[in-house]
Amino acid sequence: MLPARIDGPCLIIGEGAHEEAFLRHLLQNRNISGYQVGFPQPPDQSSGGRGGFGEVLSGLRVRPDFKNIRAVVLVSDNDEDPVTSFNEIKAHITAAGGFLEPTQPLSVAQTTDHPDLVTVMLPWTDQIGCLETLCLPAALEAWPQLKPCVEEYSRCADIGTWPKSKQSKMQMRCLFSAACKTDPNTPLTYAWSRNPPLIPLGHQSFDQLTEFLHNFRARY
Amino acid sequence: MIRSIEVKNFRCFKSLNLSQLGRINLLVGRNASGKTAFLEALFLVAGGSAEVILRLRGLRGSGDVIKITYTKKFYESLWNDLFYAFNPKQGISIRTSGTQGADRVLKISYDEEESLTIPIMDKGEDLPGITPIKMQWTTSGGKFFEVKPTITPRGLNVGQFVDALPGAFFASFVSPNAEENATNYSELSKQGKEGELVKALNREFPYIQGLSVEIDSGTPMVYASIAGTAHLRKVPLTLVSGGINKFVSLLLAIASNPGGVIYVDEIENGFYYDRLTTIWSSLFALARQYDVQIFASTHSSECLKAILPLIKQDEEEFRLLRANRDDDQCNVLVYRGKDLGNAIQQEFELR
Repeated sequence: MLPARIDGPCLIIGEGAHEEAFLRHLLQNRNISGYQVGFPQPPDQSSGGRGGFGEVLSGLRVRPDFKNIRAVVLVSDNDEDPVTSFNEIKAHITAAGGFLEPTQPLSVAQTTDHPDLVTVMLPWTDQIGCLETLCLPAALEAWPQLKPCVEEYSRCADIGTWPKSKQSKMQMRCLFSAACKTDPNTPLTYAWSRNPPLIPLGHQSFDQLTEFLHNFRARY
Repeated sequence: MIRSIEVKNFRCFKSLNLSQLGRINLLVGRNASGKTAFLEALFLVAGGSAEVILRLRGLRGSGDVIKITYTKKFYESLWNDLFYAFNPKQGISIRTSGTQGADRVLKISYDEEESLTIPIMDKGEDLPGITPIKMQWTTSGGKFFEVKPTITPRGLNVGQFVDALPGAFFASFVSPNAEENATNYSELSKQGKEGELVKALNREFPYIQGLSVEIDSGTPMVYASIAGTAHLRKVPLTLVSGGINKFVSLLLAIASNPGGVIYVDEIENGFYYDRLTTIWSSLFALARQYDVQIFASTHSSECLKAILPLIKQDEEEFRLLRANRDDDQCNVLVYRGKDLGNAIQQEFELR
């Protein structure tokens, strides 16, 4: 879901509600202004993710406030194959029409009649994993008493053969369930609504992303 | 089918150039952004008489009756609001192109070379000095005709209708013309084509079993046969429901203007929200069947959402037109059906 009104100049579109919550709180925590954050509205509740990027980009230009947008940042997971994931996003950008597709992550694609477009892949360019992979070191450091438990349980559950993204999601889930006594089902979306937050956004894990967003914003 | 339009110096449009128009064109925009003026530009160039301009005055709510006075001020007041910034020095030009008679040009300007003489009856003398307005249509095939409306002792002479592109204009707050509906239905019935219209109506409103034309106080009107508990009862359509009357009027207008254009200002007015998808479906199906193009403005998010299933079936047939006012002039942008569908799917605010 995108903001009801986009004031610009920069719009971040994540895969879903988790990315939206993370990025919104990160921008706030690191005092970066000029961005608004949203994610595709899945046609049904079972799908979503980067598959919705094409639809959002296509529909975006019909909005009356499209003229306020000077740059779009697509944020997505690399999962197990960074090249395939990035190429998928490029295909969605092409299908949307109008926008120029970037040649690689973090490179800005510019065209005359559409906003600039850049893709940020998580946990970072060419690294296998997802948002949870990026967040996990900060989360485990914030809950030192639970870290050995999560690691032991992971060994016990023999997740070493799992895809990296699934491992990260499982460990984050375990950590949150153990850390949130009042609601063991607390999702990642609410990790930063709690006081103190479950994942501290001042952690060095987020410095690279923060620096990129800061420098990118300065261009507009 | 009109595929493109160029407008110069008409109402709030100093210059407008649109292409890639579709069969169903949904027009959105804020108040005073030029939506109605855009529909009027299309309607005027499609028409073939100055009467069209006077009809638009009525549809805009400027009154059904024009009180004629034999003055320059009166004469010019009839036409000056057509010109951008009320400045008639820059002539109006509206040009459409497309298929099936859609290649048309209308030019409107004051004829500086000719002075119009208005007879002043009570003084037994003429009052010279009014520059007549001239309207020049060039239609498909290069046919040219000119109209110069004049004021005569018997009223305003606006000239004959010549070679108009078939069409009908539905204004925002004006009820469909009952007599025109009756005429359209009667013509359709004579051709044996009323069945599909009745079917479409019955599909949407099962209690309406049929339509007929009856005389009511000397005026022909469309009556609906309503299924009751005991027997079928005929009721004037205007009394059944404003929405149903509008729906029938739209269906009749489409079926009576094959190859033409229907202009609807605020199409959602009168329709219950949960009927909008099936109403759109019936209008779209009939418009395709009769090769009719529809330009419809809307302020309704529900109306836009309701059309999504049709857009998903055939994106190429739909367009979104967004009217916008920047400073003292208006503009309209065209968006593909695919983008419109995706924007509705994403629940974006489009109005």
